[in-house]
Amino acid sequence: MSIGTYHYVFIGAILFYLSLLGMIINRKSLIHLLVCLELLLLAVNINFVAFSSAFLGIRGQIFTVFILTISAAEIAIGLSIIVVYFRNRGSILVDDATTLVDDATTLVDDAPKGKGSIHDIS
Amino acid sequence: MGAPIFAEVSFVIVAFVYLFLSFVRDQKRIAQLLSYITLGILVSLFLYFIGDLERFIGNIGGFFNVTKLVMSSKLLILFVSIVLLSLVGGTFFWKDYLFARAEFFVIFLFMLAGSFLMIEAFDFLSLYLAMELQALSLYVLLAFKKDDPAAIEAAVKYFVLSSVASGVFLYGVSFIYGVVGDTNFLLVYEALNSILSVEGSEKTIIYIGMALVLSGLVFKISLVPFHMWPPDIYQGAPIWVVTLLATVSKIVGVTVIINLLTGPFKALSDQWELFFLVLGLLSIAIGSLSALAQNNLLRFLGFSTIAHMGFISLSMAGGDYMGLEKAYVYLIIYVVMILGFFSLLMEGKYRLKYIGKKLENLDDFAGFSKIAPGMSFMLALFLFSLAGIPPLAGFFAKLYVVIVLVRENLTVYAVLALLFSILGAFYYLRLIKFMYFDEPKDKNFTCLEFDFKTFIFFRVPSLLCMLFIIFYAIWPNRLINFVTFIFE
Repeated sequence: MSIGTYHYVFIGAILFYLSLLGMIINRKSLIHLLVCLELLLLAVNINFVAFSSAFLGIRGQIFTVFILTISAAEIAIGLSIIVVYFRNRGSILVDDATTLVDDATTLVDDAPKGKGSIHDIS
Repeated sequence: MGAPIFAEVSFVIVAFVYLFLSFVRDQKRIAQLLSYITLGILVSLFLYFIGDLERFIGNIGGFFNVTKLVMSSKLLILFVSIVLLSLVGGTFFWKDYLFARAEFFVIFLFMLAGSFLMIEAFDFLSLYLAMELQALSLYVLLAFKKDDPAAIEAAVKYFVLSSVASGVFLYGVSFIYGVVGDTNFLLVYEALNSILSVEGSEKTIIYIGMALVLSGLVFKISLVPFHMWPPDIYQGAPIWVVTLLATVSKIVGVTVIINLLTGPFKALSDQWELFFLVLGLLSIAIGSLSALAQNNLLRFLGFSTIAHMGFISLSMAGGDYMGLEKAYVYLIIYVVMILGFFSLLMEGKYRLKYIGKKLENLDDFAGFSKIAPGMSFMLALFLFSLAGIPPLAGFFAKLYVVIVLVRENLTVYAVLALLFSILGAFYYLRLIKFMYFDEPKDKNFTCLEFDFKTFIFFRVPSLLCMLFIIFYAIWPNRLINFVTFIFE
């Protein structure tokens, strides 16, 4: 069996969904999110390079170079925002980001944390 | 030559000149000077553009294409940014020196350049680059209030969500590239026309690609599956940045989507009509229902944005140019309404902060009509217009959408949208009830005095917007004819 374009696209798809899942499931620190973001863009890059070599066209490779550059800039800005976030809170845990929550959710959080409250379910 | 992207080039050059001024010691004075210079540049560009729209039409190297629609969106963005700069002047006047730095104007100009390039992009590559230029500037603007935990949390949330959205957009572009072999809008349009006429597995890939590309863009205008950000960001971010997000970002998003729907994805109209129909109805439903439970004013405005964008989406679902035209009319009216509302809100916040009160939750507005009669009257007018009460412009915007839907035999959706918008009227009217029928919290209140500079900075822009929404009913055809003209 020879390796064709579809195999590379399949790898790209797996990486894409892994990075999305990484954001949704493994949300511990904000650095995790940044790593997953990078993975997302790399998955897209695999797609572009695979299609580009299938077409023997150069447009996809140009696209890839631009994506790499932009993602570096994006991660730099993201890291600086996270540094400011850390200075404000002393932590970069995603679970600590609770300043902006829905009023309806706040009602649940304010419930007494004793026996039989909603917090015991987990 | 290069006349079509004249404005963007000048923005970038001016921004680089400003960058050197950030070394000057006295940043407050520099910022005041820069706000006047930037205002002058924007006003002169506005006058230059409004003279002859068709002079600037042209295509640049297949990467950018300026049409009449693009020019009118540019005019709208310029108008909004003139008002926004006037509001910045207002914050300086009230001794809020958050934006009193040269870098702020640099980033603001880059944001404008990104927005302009984004609406005239004619290639997925240039669209992506312009989108990132705009988004990166927005991240920095959101994180400008470095010592406020809420603002920084809003910046982190917007950063993560917006980056994922642009990643999803790119993934869609890669599929379209995979089928077509190019990313130019014209070539994509021609290729899709020929692909769709024959059966094959490429069709499915094209549908996936289009759905992903539109999802990435729909995030900008916060339709329902991508609607989690406006409430949080509106509540946390500095209110000036919120105004920016509620106006410029929405204009850009809707214009780019219209560009895509009339350009590369024209042949796929059956598919995207369904897409926008479902998303629009869900947005109206969830936006209206969630807003009912809110107590924070800006959070509630975030949900109301979702509902309004739902109407734009429903109008796009109404098929061809007719629906897109009415979506654009809705966009113009919505932007004018929300701009006037936000400038009044900023004025109210600053004035009440000065006398030691705040204007954050809905019940802070109790008895506001006795404290500030003029401002409450204007706020009430804007709220009536947002709710869609007849003689005001907001009513006509909703009416056009309903007409489009009924003409396309989508009457059920029109009825559902109207029912949810009646529910939505409840919370706009509740704020008016707080202002007019409740007593102020402390009994010995004082009436706010007239202040000339505040009047110039905050009230004049909102008065302009108010005149538009009142007198729209007298000459509704002017706007309609203009929009028909730009869609030709």
